Amino acid sequence: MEQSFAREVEMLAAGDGCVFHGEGILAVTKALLQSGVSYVGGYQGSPVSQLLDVMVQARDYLDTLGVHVEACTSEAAACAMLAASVNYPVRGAVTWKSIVGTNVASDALSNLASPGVRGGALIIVGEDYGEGSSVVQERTHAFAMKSSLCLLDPRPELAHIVRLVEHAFALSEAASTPVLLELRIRACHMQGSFVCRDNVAPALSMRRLLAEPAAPDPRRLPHPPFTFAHEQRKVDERLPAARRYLVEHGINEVFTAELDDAGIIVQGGLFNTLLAALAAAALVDDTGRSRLPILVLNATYPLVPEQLVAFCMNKRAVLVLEEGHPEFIEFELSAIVRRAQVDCRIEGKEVMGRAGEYTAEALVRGLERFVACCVPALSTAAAAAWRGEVDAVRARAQELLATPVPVRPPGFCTGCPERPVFAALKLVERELGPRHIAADIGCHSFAMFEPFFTGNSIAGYGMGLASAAGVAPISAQRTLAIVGDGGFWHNGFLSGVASALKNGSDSVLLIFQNGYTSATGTQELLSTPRAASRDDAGGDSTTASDTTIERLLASTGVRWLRTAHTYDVATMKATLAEAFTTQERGLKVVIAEGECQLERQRRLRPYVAGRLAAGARVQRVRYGIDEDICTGDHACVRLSGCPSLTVAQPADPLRTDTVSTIDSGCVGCGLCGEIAGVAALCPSFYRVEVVRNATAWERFAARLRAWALQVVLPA
Amino acid sequence: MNAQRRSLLIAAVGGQGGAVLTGWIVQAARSAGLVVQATSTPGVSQRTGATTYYVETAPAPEPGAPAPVLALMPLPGRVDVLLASELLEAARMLERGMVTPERTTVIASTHRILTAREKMSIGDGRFDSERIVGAIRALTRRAVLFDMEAVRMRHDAAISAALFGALAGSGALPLPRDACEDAIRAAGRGVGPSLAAFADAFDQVASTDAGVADEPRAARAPADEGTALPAALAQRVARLPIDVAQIAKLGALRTLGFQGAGYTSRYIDRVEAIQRAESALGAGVPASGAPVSCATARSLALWMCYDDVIRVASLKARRSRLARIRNEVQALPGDVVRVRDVFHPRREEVAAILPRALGAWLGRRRRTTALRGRGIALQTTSVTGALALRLTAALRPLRPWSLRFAAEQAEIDDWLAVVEQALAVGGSEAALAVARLPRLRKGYGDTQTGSTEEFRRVLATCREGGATGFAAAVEALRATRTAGQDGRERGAPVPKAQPMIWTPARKGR
Repeated sequence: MEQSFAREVEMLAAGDGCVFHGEGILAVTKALLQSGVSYVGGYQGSPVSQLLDVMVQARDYLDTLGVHVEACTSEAAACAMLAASVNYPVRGAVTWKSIVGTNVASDALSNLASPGVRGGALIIVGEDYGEGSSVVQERTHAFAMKSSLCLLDPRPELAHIVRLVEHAFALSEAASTPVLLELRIRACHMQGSFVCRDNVAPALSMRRLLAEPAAPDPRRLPHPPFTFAHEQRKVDERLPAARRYLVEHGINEVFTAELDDAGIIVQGGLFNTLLAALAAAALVDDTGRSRLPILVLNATYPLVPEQLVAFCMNKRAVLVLEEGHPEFIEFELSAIVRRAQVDCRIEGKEVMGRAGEYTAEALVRGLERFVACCVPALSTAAAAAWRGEVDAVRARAQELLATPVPVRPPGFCTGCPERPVFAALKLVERELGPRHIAADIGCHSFAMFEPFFTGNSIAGYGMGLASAAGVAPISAQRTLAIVGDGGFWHNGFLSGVASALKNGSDSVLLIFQNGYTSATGTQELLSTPRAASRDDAGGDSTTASDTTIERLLASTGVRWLRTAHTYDVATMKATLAEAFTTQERGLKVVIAEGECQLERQRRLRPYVAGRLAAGARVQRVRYGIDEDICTGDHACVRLSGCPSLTVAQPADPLRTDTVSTIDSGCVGCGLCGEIAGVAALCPSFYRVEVVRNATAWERFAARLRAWALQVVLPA
Repeated sequence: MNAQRRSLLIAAVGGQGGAVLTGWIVQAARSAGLVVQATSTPGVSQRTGATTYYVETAPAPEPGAPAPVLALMPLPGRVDVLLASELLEAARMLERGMVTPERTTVIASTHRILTAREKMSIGDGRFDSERIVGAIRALTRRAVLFDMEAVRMRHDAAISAALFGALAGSGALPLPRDACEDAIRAAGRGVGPSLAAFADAFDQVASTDAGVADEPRAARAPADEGTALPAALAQRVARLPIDVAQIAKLGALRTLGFQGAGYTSRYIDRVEAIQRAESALGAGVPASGAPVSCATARSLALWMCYDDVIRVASLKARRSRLARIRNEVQALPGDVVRVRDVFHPRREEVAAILPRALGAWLGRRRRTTALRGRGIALQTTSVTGALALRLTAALRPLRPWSLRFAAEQAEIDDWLAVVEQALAVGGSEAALAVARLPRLRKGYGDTQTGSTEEFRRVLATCREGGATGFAAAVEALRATRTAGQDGRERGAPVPKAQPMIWTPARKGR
C-alpha cells in the first residue's frame, strides 16, 4: 500500500474525550466504530480509498472489537455485503467512489433497497465531482431517488459529519432503508478536529457469533409478488418514517437572519463555500452571519415537504444551491411550493448556470444575480466590485504571461513500468500503422495524454476488451484492448476475456500486470506478488513471480498467450507486432509484467539502506546523456515523457536550442537506454553502474582497468 | 470577511510532498493557537500532474462564541498567500486570478519542472521563466522568489521543507519559527534534513526580496574542440567584425578539432563570404553588427562538425568524461563505477564513414533492419570497450574521403548560396532566418531523415520562391517551438508493407 497509516490506526482506538485531528474520511472511519458496526467493506478509489486502507491496516485492533473488514474486488461485491443487514440486526458500512462505484454496485443496490434492512446499512460515497475529479460528472442523487434510499450530504465540519454518521445508522434502522452518505472530494481530505466517544463493540460480530441463521422469509426476497409489496412499503411506510426521523432529530438546519423575505436552501456539503461567497459579496453581518436565512439540507433525499414549505412561507424568493445536473431538488421544491399554493419564487440553475461545480467564485456570481433580481433590500455593489477586480487581475495576468500556461495533466511516475510498453506500442505503430485502441481505467489511461496520445475509448473500469467487441469485426487492422491487473480482477476477466473467448473474437488484449491497483494507492490484488517473494526480490521486479493471471487465462482457453517484461522494449515491441500479425485466430493476450515503481521503491529504500548500513555490496544504476552528442531534437522525450528526462540550456556556447538531460530523480529503470537502442535514437545515452562496498575482486579489476585506461584513453 | 483570517493556497506538482507541507502548516497553526482547516484535491493528479492544497486560518473564537466556519476552496482575489513549489504552477494561479496586488504574498520556487509538452518540442518549447517572474512581481503585494530546489538538493530534503522555511521566514502567516520546527519534528520523518532545509530557506527570504538568483550554467565546449588556432587563421578571424569574430573563433576551434587546420580555413572562407555579402548590403544600416554573419558562423560551425561515428567515439572515449560522470553520479572514492554506452550503428551510419564508392554501394543496398535490433551496449570503462572506441576515433584522418563528408560539404554550399541569395533579394530578416535554418536538422536515424527532408524542403522553397519564399524559413523556425508537441516525428513516414491477415470465417472454428 502506498501510504502507512500507523498514526491514524492509533487514533481509531481513541476513547471518550480524546481529540481527533485528521482528515474527514478518517473521521468517518472513527465514527463507524463509535456506531458499533459489525462489518466494513468497500472498493478503493479517490477520495475514499483511505477509509478502507486504514481499516485494513487496523485489522489487529478491529479484531479485538470483532469487526470484520473486507477489501472487496468491486463495488458490486461491497454492496452485496450489506445483505447481511437485510436479515440480521447488524450494522454494516461500505464505501466507494461515486458516480462510477455506484454504477457498478447498482444491481446489488436495487436488490438491497427493495426488501429494506433490519440493521443499519450505510454506504459512504466519495462524490468525485468538480476540480480534482477523475470520473464522469453525474450525480449520486439520482440513485437515491430511483431506489428510495436516504441521502445525507453533511455540512463539512468534522464533529457534524461524525454526528451524522451516527444518525445515519439510526435513520437506516428507523426507515428500514440503506443510507447513502455523500462526501465531496475536499470534505474527504479536510483537516479538522472533533472530540471522540468510545468505540462500541457490536452485539453480533466475529467475537460474538450468530448462533443460527435467520428463518427463510420470502418477503425479504426481491421476487414477485413481494417486490410489489416492497414498492408500496417504500412509499407508504419507509420514506415517511425517514422524513419523521429527519424532522425529529433536526438533521436539516435553519440559520435564521433579520431579513426574512428571501432565503437560500443549500446542500449541506456546500455550506462552507456558501459562507465564504456571502462574505465576499458583503452579504454577512459584523459577526460573519449570513444576512439571508439559510436552510441547510444535510439530508438531500428524501425531502420533507412540510419543512420546505415552512421555510418558503412568507418569502418572495428562495435560491436553491444544488450542485450538478439535473436539478432534482429545485424541481421537487417547485412542485411542493406550487401544491402548497405558497407564492414564493424558486431560483436555482437560472442564476447559477445549468452545469458545473459550485466553486466559491460561481457562488459569488450566482448570489449577485439572485440579489439583483429578487432581493431589493440588499446591495450587489460588493459582489460587482469583486467581480470587476477579479476580471481585471485575470486580464492583466494573461497580458503579462502573453501565452496560456501549458497544461500539466497527470502522467506516469519516474520509472513507471507502463511507460516502456507505450513506447514499444508507438514504435510498432510506426511500422504497422495505427489501429483502434480500446483503453481502460487505471494509471495506463495516462497514455492518452502527452507524449503518447494513445487510446480511442474508455468505456468503464475493466471494460477495455468488451468495448472493442463492436469495433474489432469492422476494423481492417486488428484492434488492441488494454486492461490493468486491477481492472482485470474488477471486471475485465468476465466482461472482456470470457466474452471474447465465447465469441471467438480475433483481437489483442494487453494486460498490465504491475501487481497492485496503483492509481488508487497501490492496494493489493489476487495476483499481488506474495510477501515472501517481495522480501527476496531485492532490486528485481517481483511481478513475474505470480502467475495467477496466466494460469487462469490458459485454463479458460486462451491459446496465444505471451508474457514480456515491460522494460525490455525490444521484446515487447516484437511481441506486440507478432500479436498484431500472427495467423493464429482467436484472442491473443500479451501480459506486460513489471512491478509498480512506487511499490518497488517503497520496498527498495529500506532494503538498500539496510545493506549499506551493514557494509554489504550495493549496486545502483543511473542513466545520463552526453550533451555534446545530443542534437536536441527530443525524440527521446516523445517516446518516454519520463519526469526525470528533461531539457536544459546547453553548456556549449555555440548552441542555442535546448539539449536533453536526466535529472537526479532517475531511478535507473533503463527505458532511456532501451528506446535509444530499439528506436535507433542517438548515441548520447549512457548507463552508469555505481557499486558501493564492491568485492575485493571487483575493486582489483577496477584498479587494473583504470590503469589501462590511463594508457588507452586521451585526457 | 474578518480581517484576521488568512487564506493560503499551495500550488504544486503531484509527488512533491504537498500533503506533508500542508500537514506541517496545520500542526504549526494549531500549536500557535489558531483555528485551522486544510483541504486538497488529490486523486490521480497526484501522479505528476498540477495540484493544489488550500489552508485557512482564523484566530481562536472568544470563549462561548461559535467556531468560525472556514472555506474549503480559494476564492479568486481573496488569497493572502500563494505558495508555489514550481514556477509554472505559480503562473497557473496568476492566470486563475488567485493573486492580486492589494492582497497576495507570493512565495515561489523559481526552478522549473518542465511539462511534457514543453519538453517534446523539436525546438525550444519552454515557457519563458523571466516572463513569469515579471508577472509575479507586477501582480503581487510581495514576492519571495528563489530557487528552493537548490535548497532541497543542498540538504537532501523534500522541497516542502524549503517552502515551509520560506513561509515561516516571510512572516506572511502568524506562525512562530519554533512552532514550525516542532511541527517538522512531530511529523517524524527525515527530520534532520527537513530542519536544515527549513532553516536555509528561512534565512534566504530576507536576502531574496532583491531578485532572482538563478546562476546561469557555466559554458563548456565539447572536449574535442581544438586548443589554439594557428597564427594565420587567428589573424583572419580577428579581421572579422567583433561580434562575428567572437562566434567565428569558437567555430574555428571546433572545426580545428574536428578535422584540422585546412578544414578550419574552409570554415573561415565560408564565414568571410557571407560577411562580405552582408556588409555590402548593410552600407546604410547603423552599427547594429552583422547578425546574419553571426548566425551563419554559428550554424556553420555546428554543421561542419557533424556527429558521425568517428566524432561520437572520440567524445565518448575520454578520461575527462569518465571523471565527469563519476562526479555526476556522486560516486565516493571507493566506489566502482562502470559506464556503458548504447550504440546502434545503422547501415547508413557505417556507410557514411566508408570511402565514397564503397559507402555509396552499401547505401544503395536495400535498407534493412539487420543492424538495428536492440543496439550494442559497449562498456566504455572496460579495456576492450575503450580500445574499440579509440580505434573508431582514430579513423579521423580518413574522414575527408568518406561518403558523408562529401555529401555534407555539398549541402552546406547549397545552403550558403541561399543565405547569399536571401541577403541579395530578401533583406536581412529573411537572410537571418535562412542562416538559422540548419537548426531544423536534428536527431539521428529516422528523426534525422525526417528533419533533413524538412530542411531541404524549406530551403528549396526559399531558393525558388523569390522574395516571398523566405517567409517559409521564418515560419519553419517559429514552428519548431511547438513542432513535436503532438508526439509525431517530422517528415513523411516511411511507407512500410502492411501485413494482410487472412482468417477463415469465425463460425467454422
